[in-house]
Amino acid sequence: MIKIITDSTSDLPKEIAEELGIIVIPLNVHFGDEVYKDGVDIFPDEFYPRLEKSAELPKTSQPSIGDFINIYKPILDNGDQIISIHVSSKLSGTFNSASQAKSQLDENNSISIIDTKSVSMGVGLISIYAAKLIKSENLSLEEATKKITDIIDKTETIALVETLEFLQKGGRISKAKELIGNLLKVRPILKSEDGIIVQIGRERSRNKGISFLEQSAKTSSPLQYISIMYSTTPDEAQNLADKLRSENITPIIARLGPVIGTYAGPQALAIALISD
Amino acid sequence: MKIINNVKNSNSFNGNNLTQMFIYSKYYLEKHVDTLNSLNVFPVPDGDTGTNMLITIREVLKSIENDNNPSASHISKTMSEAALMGAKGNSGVILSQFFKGFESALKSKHNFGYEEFIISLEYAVKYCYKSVGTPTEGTILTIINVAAKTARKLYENGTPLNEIITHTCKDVKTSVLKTPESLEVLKNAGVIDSGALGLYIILEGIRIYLEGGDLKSSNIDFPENLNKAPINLSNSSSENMLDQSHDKYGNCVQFFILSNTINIDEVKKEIEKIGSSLVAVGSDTKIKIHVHSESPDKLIKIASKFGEITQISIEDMDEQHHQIISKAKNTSETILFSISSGEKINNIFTEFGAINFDIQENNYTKDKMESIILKSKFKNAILLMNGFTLPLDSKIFSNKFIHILNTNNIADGIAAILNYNPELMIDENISNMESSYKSIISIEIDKAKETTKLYDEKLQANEYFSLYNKKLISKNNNILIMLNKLFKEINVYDKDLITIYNSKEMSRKIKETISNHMETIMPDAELEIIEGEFTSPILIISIE
Repeated sequence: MIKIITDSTSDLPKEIAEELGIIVIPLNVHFGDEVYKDGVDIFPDEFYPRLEKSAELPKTSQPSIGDFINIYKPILDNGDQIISIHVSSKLSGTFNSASQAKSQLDENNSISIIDTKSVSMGVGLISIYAAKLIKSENLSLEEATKKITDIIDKTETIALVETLEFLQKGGRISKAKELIGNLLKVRPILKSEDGIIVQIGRERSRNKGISFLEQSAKTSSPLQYISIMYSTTPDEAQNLADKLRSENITPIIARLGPVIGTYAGPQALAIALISD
Repeated sequence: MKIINNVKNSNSFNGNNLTQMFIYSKYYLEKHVDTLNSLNVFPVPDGDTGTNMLITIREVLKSIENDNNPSASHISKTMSEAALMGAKGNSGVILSQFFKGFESALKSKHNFGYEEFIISLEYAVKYCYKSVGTPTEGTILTIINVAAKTARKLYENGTPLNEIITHTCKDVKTSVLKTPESLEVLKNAGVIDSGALGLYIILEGIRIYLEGGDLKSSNIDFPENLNKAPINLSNSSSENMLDQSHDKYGNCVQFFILSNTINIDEVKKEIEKIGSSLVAVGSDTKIKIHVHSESPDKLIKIASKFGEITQISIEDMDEQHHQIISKAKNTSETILFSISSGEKINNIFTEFGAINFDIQENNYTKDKMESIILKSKFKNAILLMNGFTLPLDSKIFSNKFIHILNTNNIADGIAAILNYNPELMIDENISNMESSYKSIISIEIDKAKETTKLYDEKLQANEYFSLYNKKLISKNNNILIMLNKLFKEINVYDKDLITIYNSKEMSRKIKETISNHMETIMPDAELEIIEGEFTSPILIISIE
């Protein structure tokens, strides 16, 4: 049997992960000396108020090699195989930790580690696709890995954030294509492109920013999957989901967890999609 | 000590002469370091090749500063060690191998002549090529090779000894100018290789010394008409090296590995797996590594298998690269200008990348503005007029094109500049910027100072009036009544952002009245208020 593993930057809703049997490895969030496991002992409801109040921004860190070994080993010992699907290796060391764990454990090539070059539900949707794929088709590890890798290019994640401050301070954006001033309120629109975060637009009004997301989804249609993610504004996420709902597709609403929230900040709204 | 340069026609040099050669090299490197930096596009366009070579050669000279031992063997060995320890950057590390060539050739020699000098170059070729993970032609390597081969040929042909270096340098110069033919990134950027030019300068220093030239009064034969502003951002073929979507360059990692016995080839093989632009040099007990990698931790972990790691330095090249890009943008294709009045608005335009003419600060005439614009390096300039009425027209000045955008006011100008995208062609940008400012509603509100006529409408003194699209829309002595009349004429349905730009003529009370009024008219819209220092009009409201 093949087990699907992802990490907590996927922001995969818990019910979906449980329903599809996807194992989620948490990254860590550090407030000063305090370390929390993303989605295990820190959750969005307490995280965002704290983020807004905290003078010093939290930091994040990837799961350790040991964390991966602890998850991988029992699965391998049980004779099962693993597809481990992770956040862009250019944004996080998670992929690296997973690869190191594999190199220490995996003598029979039973683990496949995938760099999605994406983030948040971009990773989440790929994991959902993977879990459904291995349930519906009887594929070898190699065949399944190939199919999953093939949809990476069809996956897009686009976010409207209130400020670049969190991304810049966290060092997750090094190439702001356009300038965002401080004197006038301007909201950047970001996209994960080939594994890094780039700015693809800027809007002054929030509504226009949200329309930008809506238009992007429509431009990429037809879609296999779409997800709407939010950090602190569930109503906006619901409205956008209603606009993007169709006969064939129901948007998955997901909340940006503490690790992604560290960079996206409050009031971030995003979409992830896999086009057909 | 006064240096008496009496080496002309000599064929016997000692360690002091060797030191002098490189003192000359350093002098000319210092003179041209900025040019070298500006040419740096390979392997990473981080603009530090000249600086790195200079720092390396300074370290070399520092090591022998107070060394009176005239033995060539001793001096070359000291230099080589200092170069290894002090080398900075890729070019510096390769340069350290150039010095190692001298160390090997001059081993146990008190004096040396042209033959040993040539052997030194030949050793240098060997070490330099070996030090690099993937040797690339069209770089400093090619130049060292050409120098050694040319000098050897001249020597074998019986060229008079004191002419060997002269002719060698001439051939080397030709090769430097040809580097773009071997290296695509140079060709695309329209520049010659900076490391290659750096080595040429070093050789020229040596030439001038050997020819008996005086340091301060002699000049090297510096290539003329060098394109020193290599970066053409709109040229798609050069995007590979400068486009922001380029893969991350990661970190420039440097460190030493110390051990009893190190197999340098093995180290190179391992490190190349996770790094690029690798240079590995040294002996079997001490290796200097210079490599670009996105995962320095991993790299150092691997390296630590081979011995003790010391003097680790990690620099973020993306940051370096980023600075270069922003610099390049200022001197390349398109440049933005705007006109406004007062510091606050001035800063808004500046933040979005424009060079702003602050009319309040300076009394700009048409000629003055034109001459400032033309002094900037660009092919296209976009000038946002923002309602100021200098008689400027779009026009071409010898390959330079000034595009005038007749934005009615600063609100239009801001809408336009926000839709400028440096990645698009000029025509596309102009059209995007035009449609963006035309799509917003920007209303100027002012107060008549005296009885006057405006757009065929009579205005009484102290009457408030509103202008939209160069038309008078409403007027009244009471500003609120005037606003109410205005919004009966203008459809704000579907709009969600109001920006109010207050002039300094506005009292706090009127400001509050107006912002409250706008909130009642458009309760769901976002409202942003900017306090400007301009005096006319008294208020601008933009609705989008």
